[in-house]
Amino acid sequence: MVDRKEIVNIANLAALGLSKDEIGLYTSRLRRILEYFEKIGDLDGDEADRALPALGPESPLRPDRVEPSLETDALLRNTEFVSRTFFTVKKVIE
Amino acid sequence: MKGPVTAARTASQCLRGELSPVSAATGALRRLDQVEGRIHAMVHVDEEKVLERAALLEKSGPPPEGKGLLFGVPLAVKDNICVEGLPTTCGSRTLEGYLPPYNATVVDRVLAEGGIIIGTTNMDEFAMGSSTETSAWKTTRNPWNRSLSPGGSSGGSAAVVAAGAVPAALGSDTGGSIRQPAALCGAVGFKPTYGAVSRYGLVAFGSSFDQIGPLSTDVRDAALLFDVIGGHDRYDSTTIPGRDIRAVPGLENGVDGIRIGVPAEFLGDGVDSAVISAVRSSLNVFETLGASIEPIELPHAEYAIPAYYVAAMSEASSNLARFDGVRYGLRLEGPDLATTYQKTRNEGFGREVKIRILLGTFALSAGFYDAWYAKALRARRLVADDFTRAFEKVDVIVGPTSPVTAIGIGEKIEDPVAMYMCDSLTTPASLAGLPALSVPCGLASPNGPRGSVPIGLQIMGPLFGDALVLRAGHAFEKNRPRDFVSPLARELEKT
Repeated sequence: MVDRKEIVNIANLAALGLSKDEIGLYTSRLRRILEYFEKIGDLDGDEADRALPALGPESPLRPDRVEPSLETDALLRNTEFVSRTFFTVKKVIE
Repeated sequence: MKGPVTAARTASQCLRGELSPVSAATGALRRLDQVEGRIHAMVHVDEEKVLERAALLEKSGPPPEGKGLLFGVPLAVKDNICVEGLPTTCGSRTLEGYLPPYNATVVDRVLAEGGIIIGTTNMDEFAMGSSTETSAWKTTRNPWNRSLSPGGSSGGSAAVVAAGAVPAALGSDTGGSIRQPAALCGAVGFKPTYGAVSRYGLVAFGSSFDQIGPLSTDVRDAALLFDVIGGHDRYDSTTIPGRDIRAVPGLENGVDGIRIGVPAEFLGDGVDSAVISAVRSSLNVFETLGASIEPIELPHAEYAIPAYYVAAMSEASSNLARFDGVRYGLRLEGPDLATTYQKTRNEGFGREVKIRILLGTFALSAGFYDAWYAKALRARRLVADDFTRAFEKVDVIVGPTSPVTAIGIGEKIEDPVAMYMCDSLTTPASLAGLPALSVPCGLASPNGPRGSVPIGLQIMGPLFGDALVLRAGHAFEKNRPRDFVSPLARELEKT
């Protein structure tokens, strides 16, 4: 069952910077939820080893050609962190 | 004219020149003004844009014959469906002020038929909740009793329709988010077959479950809206070409000779006695209309809640990775990019969203994948197989939409498992991708402390059996012993 260490690890994977209080709260909440969900662990055997495929048998294709898309300016309008036609972030590579 | 304001009637009046689109829009804005302070259902209403759009329709006049199915009809849309230039926030601080640069396909289709988007409706944050209480903006109230929740996550859409402010609204349903609030507010709510309606422009939660659908005053309007928004869309490859379904043409065909399956699992433990009694009475209505009732079994229904939540949370943890503050929404700068992501996401997301991201990340992580995510997919297959077997014997399956009637505000918000159980009867159809309708069928506790609150009947059909489901719902609605108008809507009718 999950403990605080596990929650910290998961939060790191999920890029969530949880506070200490939150780590405690989410540990107890997740425990309670997973305890209830444990019943799917009962399922085993041959009858249950097929995952659900996509609902339609078809995998639609369309011609590979360039078509009009949204304007760059419109896509940059939802953030102030923009330089020319780029989104900006803090430098990653030293 | 008295009686409920429906989309079909509004469009017909506007097309015949008996009502102008501007009058229809101003009427809806006036009604919204009267109820919003009491139900808190809307997130954003831009009156100027609404009136501009109505004036444009009025100036251009009625479209050619066969078009204008929603001419002059004011409609609300859930806050997770993109409308160009109208803020779309998904009830989350992380998307505060986000202005979509494009319309969702369903919005384009509504506009092409002459509809008027009146505003966006409140919802649980990122559609994660069953009570609309996890919204970052406000807590929506039930028009039948304002101390009660409208259900969720499309609680704003359900409340605004049930209050009689607009004839219909669009919502989204991942595990019951259209049907459950519709049931709890006494509205009609329809989740189409997965793949029947485009998801392009719907902010993703659980991509293999999400469907957009209508909430409305009656089943005819649900069918009308389904016909407008449904069909193949080149921008959503899960909409299947050649599967365009039309529900309105066969709506009056009745249920004579239809075989109705009733799963024992839907009328057992955990379901309120008033709900069971209302559903049983509804079955009598179907029988008098010539349908036959047959008991069926859905033996894996008990796995629906864990299977749904594990699978949907896993998908959500992946889908919500995009909210990192880089391209849109909230950004809180840290000393480096990784910390910026962590601060932004922790501040932007609410508690329930974080719980679900953590659970989804856990279920997909190395060492836990087989025990959780893979098991959830297997359970999903077993639930879907149960339905496939059942539909060899019956045409539609009927049961309650929700095991309980409307819950009190704050009643279950601190107990996640109790809240998830509210979805126990809607998640089975979601897991199998089936079409499912909720239509009001009864009232509970007429003399209890909460007053009368509505009960919803759920009608589920086979994949792409959307038209049959709506036809059965319409037949029932026309012949049920009473109508379901909320006290707030009744008050509006008098003004």
